[in-house]
Amino acid sequence: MNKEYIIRNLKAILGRAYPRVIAANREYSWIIADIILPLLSVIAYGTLYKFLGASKDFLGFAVLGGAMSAFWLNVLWDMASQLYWEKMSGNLQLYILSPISLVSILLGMSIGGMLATSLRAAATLIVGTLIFKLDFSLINITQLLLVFFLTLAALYGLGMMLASLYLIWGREAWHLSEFFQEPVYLVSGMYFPVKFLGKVGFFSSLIPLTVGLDGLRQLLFKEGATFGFLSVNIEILILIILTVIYALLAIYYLKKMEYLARKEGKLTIRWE
Amino acid sequence: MGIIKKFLNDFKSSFYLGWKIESNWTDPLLFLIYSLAKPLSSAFILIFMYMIISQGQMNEMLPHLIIGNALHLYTANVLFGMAWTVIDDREFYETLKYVYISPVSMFQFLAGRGFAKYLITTISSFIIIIFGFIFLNVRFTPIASWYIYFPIFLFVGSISLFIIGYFFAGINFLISRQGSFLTQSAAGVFLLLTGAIFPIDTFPGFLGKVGIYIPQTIWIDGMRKILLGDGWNSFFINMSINRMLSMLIIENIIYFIIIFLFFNFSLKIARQRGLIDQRTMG
Repeated sequence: MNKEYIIRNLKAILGRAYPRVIAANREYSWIIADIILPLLSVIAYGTLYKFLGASKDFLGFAVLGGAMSAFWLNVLWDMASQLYWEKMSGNLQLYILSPISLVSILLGMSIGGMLATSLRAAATLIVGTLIFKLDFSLINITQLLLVFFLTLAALYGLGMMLASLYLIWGREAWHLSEFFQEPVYLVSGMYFPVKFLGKVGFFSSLIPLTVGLDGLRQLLFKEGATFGFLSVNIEILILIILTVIYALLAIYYLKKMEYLARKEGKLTIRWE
Repeated sequence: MGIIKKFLNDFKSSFYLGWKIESNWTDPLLFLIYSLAKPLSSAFILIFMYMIISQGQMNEMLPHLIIGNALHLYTANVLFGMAWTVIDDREFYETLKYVYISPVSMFQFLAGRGFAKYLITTISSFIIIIFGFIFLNVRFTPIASWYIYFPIFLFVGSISLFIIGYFFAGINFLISRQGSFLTQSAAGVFLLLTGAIFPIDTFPGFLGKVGIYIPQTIWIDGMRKILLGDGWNSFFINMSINRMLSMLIIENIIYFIIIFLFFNFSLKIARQRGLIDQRTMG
């Protein structure tokens, strides 16, 4: 791998991240949609908790879950489905023809997606905090940052892996994203502590959001540790393992997808 | 061909088209799982939230919550189904223009497409209620003559779903890609304002009163009253079921007149501005 190749790929990462951050912000309706849609769920679930007489920390759990759901939506719709849509718009063949690695393309999309979604998630968190007058009690900032960034790394690794799988699965991409939305909200404990799901929680820990969200709740709310699923240190370890596994699987499936697509001549076929 | 026969024929064709679009991408079993996964997951999120806070204790709130959520699925899906049809057919399939120039009325066409969603939602709602009945010990304590009120209320309430669906479809004729966001947001707003998962009185002041003027609020609370013996919104709590039914019918008539005019106006404007075949989503 020579220096020129590395620079070219770094440029590709930057080039693919650019539209995610800059161009996405040109369409105001998307910004509003990305903030308002999770916020509506947050208000609904928060109000339900309030009506049921839950403590303020539970409202906080719902708000945090709503904010983090923006990342899951971004991974599903803008990462996993992306290569399929690139094929539909005719860009995929250009990516493969160009002298860069497809990993750089996906990495660029991830970095751009993370940045843009962080702003939207922060907006949901701020508005939710103001509406429900939440009290945060920060336990350990180093662990908090570690859990947050590892969650994103593992989550976007999963997104990169799904991007290749979606391409292989074909025109069901749209339905798959729809399918993975609410069920993942349920099994990852997006709006309630995953501890209450019992053994299901161990299986859903394969979704980085499950352990990430649980860790963040433990580190941000007084009652977080009481309702914690695993200890924060174990959750950090799980997130590191998931990051590595999903990154490796993403590279493997990307190569496999590219090989299959070339072999079967499907790179330029639309609506399939 | 008689007017009624033509109407039913057009409705059947658009329903069949809607059903095919919804279901023909996979085999029936996978389609069933796909159709049920989303609504059942949303219902279970609410049930878990309830169980956690009530520490496993069942009280009268759970049946209200389950019925409210099951009926809200209709609002979300029929509204989304009808409004999304405009965007889907215009932007992706690029067939809206052909429907427009065909002898099928857009009004019937959208009703048929919405009805496909309505049927799919009926299965989900039924499963949620049956699940509550079997596993969560939800018991119905219906009012006298519930077997008369239930089908009438279900029918009149279902009409209100389609009326609201026309409103959002009408808006989508006039706007571009933002329509998808608008439709999804509308479903969220209806969840908040119709008292589906908590009483509308939970909201302070003006926000707590808005729901009274939305037909779905009366529908959901009326269905609770029919099946469980009482509703949970203070405005309707002492209201007889006959009065609620009259109120729902009156609101339906008012909304229908306003939305019918608006829908036709939207179609006219969309045609004048050349929006029927616009493509704004890539």
